[in-house]
Amino acid sequence: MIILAMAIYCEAKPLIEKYRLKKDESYMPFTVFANEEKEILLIITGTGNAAAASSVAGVCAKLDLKADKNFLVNIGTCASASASASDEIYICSKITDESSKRTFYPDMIYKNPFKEAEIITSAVLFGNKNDKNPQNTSDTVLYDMEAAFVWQAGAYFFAPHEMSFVKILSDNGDTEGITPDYITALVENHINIIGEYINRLRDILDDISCAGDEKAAKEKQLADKLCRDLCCSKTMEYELRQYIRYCFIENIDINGVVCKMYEENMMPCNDKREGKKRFEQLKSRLL
Amino acid sequence: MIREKEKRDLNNLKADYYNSFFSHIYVEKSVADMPDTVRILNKFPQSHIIYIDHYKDVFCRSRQSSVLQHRTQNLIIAKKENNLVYAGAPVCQSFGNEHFYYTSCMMNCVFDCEYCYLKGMYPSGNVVLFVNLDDIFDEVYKLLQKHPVYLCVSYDTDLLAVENIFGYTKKWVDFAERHTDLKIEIRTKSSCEKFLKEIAPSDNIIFAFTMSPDEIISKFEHKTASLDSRISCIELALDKGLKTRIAFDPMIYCKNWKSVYTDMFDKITGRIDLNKLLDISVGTFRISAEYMKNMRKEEPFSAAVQFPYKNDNGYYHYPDEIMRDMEDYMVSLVSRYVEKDKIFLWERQEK
Repeated sequence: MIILAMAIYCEAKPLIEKYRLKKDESYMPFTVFANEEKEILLIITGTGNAAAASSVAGVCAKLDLKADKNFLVNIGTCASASASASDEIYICSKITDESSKRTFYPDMIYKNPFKEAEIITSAVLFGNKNDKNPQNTSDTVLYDMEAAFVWQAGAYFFAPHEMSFVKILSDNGDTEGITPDYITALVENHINIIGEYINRLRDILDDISCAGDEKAAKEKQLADKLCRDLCCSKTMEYELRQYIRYCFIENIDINGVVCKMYEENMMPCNDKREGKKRFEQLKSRLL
Repeated sequence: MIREKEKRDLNNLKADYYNSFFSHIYVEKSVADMPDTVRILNKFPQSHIIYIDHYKDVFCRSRQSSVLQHRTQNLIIAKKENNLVYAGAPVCQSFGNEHFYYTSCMMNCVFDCEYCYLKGMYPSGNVVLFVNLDDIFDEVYKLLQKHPVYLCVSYDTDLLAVENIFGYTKKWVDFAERHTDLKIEIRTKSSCEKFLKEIAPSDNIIFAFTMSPDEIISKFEHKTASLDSRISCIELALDKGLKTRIAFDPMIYCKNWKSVYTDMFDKITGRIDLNKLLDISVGTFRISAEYMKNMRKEEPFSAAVQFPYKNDNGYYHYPDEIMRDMEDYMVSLVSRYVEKDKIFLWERQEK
């Protein structure tokens, strides 16, 4: 599943329309739009640190997130003193929480179509800050009010390579003329490149997800049966499951070996002592 | 068959998805101006440089996937602090040297061996290079004031694999040449003929080549040199009079292990006079149970990792019969060519 976290509705509107997302009231009090078929869920987090962290954590806690099969993408607008032009779109490789000075680094494993920049998450609007370039750097430094907190909440659910932060530069601190329509138009301008990026993430998820659940189920079924019929202790069970896993990987015909043992009336066993003996025989027939 | 397909599917995730090798280089601010940092950064003009306070801020993040990171490794340039030289670990072969140490001027390896303990030991698959090598030299020098030192310099990495980028093996060789009480071992699975051609023989520098059958190399030792390349390097090293060791360690089990290890051995003895080697070590795969726990989670489809090892006092190894058969067989092969005192067998603890 792709989980998008965006601060305000006017930022999210082009994505809600593109992916035909419908409001899902089951996440109340958080505002969520979703399209189950497309496996996309969009959280409108609200602006600021607390809103970003609590809504991402609150929604993710309700989702049944399977490891390695999800991405969290924070998309939004930002400000900068050093960026030469507004309307540029960036992906953030370094995120600093200005209040705690803690810095976070998303894993830049996958290719993306964006320029890279670092971002500082502040508790106040960039336009209201006294020092607008505290690092005195010529590099592009972006400012927003959510990214570091989306990261910190997301880190309970996602690995560093499963979170990304895409920001569109809206202003240099002068907020005059920054209207909801202007923000929507900014995101709209980049909807194709954002869509391309989301499609890429979905392709990656599709590839990862191909690792067969069906085969894993067969492996588990055999393990459960043998654990029962060998009267396994906890230690034996752990060892048996490892043997089964290895046989499945190496295409060793464990089913054939087990069938033969049933035919020879070696299983099911009556007690743990017999089970232990039969397990030793099974191991020696497998390796 | 499906498992193999799954594994291939995972391995074949379109290469397109991934950033290139060292696409991102993280640099500790404190070493940003050091000559080695500048020299290395100049080799990667296309890379994104990200300045950081401490390497652990990146290297030690929780929930990293070292397997994924190995597909597109990034580099972290840092300063090594505190422990610069370590006493040799009990599972490591000391080759009879009393004062056995190892050092890690680089953490992680650009090779991608599925069974490598580094995948279980480190929280990240990214490479860390410590550019304060002189501090490590100072620490070794202090030890040398007390006693001779046997030092493995390429243990938690493969320095020769990245010699063309970092040039650290040459620095160690130069340092060892100035300190006769220091004996260094440089272990590799790389093809390093160019480097070997440029090195003069020295009594206290040992080149150690880990040898595996081609079947094991192609299945588990991704990106490493082929058996033929490794044999060519050994031939060259011996011709030049370089002290050379080979390690049949770790031996990795497969159903037809006897035939693949026999074929490998025949290939080696067909081109190399084993008596010219300094020594030969033999040992089957063994690993700390703690590391293996991490690796099993990360590599669910690796036969080398998912083998049902036996756990003895916190160390996993092959079941006694397999371990004994494999090691005894290899020792018997080697014994046909060299005296027993040149064969170092991993001290196994059978139960």
